[in-house]
Amino acid sequence: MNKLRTRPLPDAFYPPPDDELSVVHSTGLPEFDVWEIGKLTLSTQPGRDRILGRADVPVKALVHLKLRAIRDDKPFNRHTSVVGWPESADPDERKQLRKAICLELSQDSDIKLVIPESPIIRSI
Amino acid sequence: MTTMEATFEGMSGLIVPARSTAQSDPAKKLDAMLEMIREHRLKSYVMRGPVERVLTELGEVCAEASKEGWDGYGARPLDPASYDFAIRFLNALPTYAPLPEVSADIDGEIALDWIFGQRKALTVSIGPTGRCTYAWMLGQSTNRGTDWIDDEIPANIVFALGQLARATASKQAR
Repeated sequence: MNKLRTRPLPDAFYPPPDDELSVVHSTGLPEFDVWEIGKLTLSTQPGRDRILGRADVPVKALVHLKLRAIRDDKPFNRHTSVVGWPESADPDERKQLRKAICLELSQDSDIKLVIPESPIIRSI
Repeated sequence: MTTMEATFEGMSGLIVPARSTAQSDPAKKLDAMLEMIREHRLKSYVMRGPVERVLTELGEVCAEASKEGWDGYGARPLDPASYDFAIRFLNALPTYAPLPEVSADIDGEIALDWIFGQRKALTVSIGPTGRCTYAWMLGQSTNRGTDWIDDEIPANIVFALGQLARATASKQAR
C-alpha cells in the first residue's frame, strides 16, 4: 500500500511467474477468519512476517479487466487464483499491459483497502 | 487534504533540466548557467532532503528484495543494475515532480509509483538495461509505453508527470 495507507500499490496485483495471482475467496467470511487465512501465507522472511493490510476485491472488478478468479482450495481452503493475464510475444508489451491492469485495480474505487488495528503476525 | 499535502512533500515548483538544442556560444553558455543553478538548488537541503529519503527507502527495498523468492512466491532478486538506473532516474526527476513510492517488482526491477489522487496515477518499472515500462491514468484515459533512460528521464514519463501535476494543481485551485 502507499505510505498514506489509502490505496494498494499497483504491484500488489502483479502476477507471479506462474501467472496465477494468489488470493482468498473471502465472501461471507467474518473479519477474524479472513485475517486467520492471511496468517497461513506468512513466513519468517523479512517482508513476509506480518500483514499490514489487505485489498478486498469484488470479482466484478476482475471480470471488468477480463481476468478470472478460480477457486482451487490449494494449498488451503478458499485459496483462489486470479488468471487470464494478457499475453504478448513482446515481453515489453506484456509488462505494459499487465502494469496497466494493475494500475486500474489499484485505482478502482470498488476495491477497498482494509487495515487491521495492529499488524497481523504469525501464530507461534 | 492531508493526502495532497503528503503526496506533494517533494514538490518544489522549480526548474527542470534544460532541453535546448541551440548551438551558438551564447546559448551554450546560458544552458551551462541554467544547469549550474539547477545543480546548486538540488544540492540545497530543502531540495535534496526528500530525494535523499527516497534514496534511503530504495536502499531498504533493495536489501529486502535481494534474495530469490523474497516475496514468498518465487520472485527474482532485485537486479543491481535496476537499482543503479533507479538512482539515476530519481536524481534526474524534474523538480516540480512529487517523489514516488518505491518498491520491488517480482521480476527483479524497481517500481516507482505516484498517486496524485483518484484515477490520477503513474507507475514505472525500471529494468537492468535502463528500460522504463510505464502506465499512467488521468480520469478515464489510460496510457502505457516503454522507453529507456539515457542522460535524462524519458520524455513521455516527464510528460505524464507534468499532466498529472497540472491536473491535480488545477483541481486544488478550484
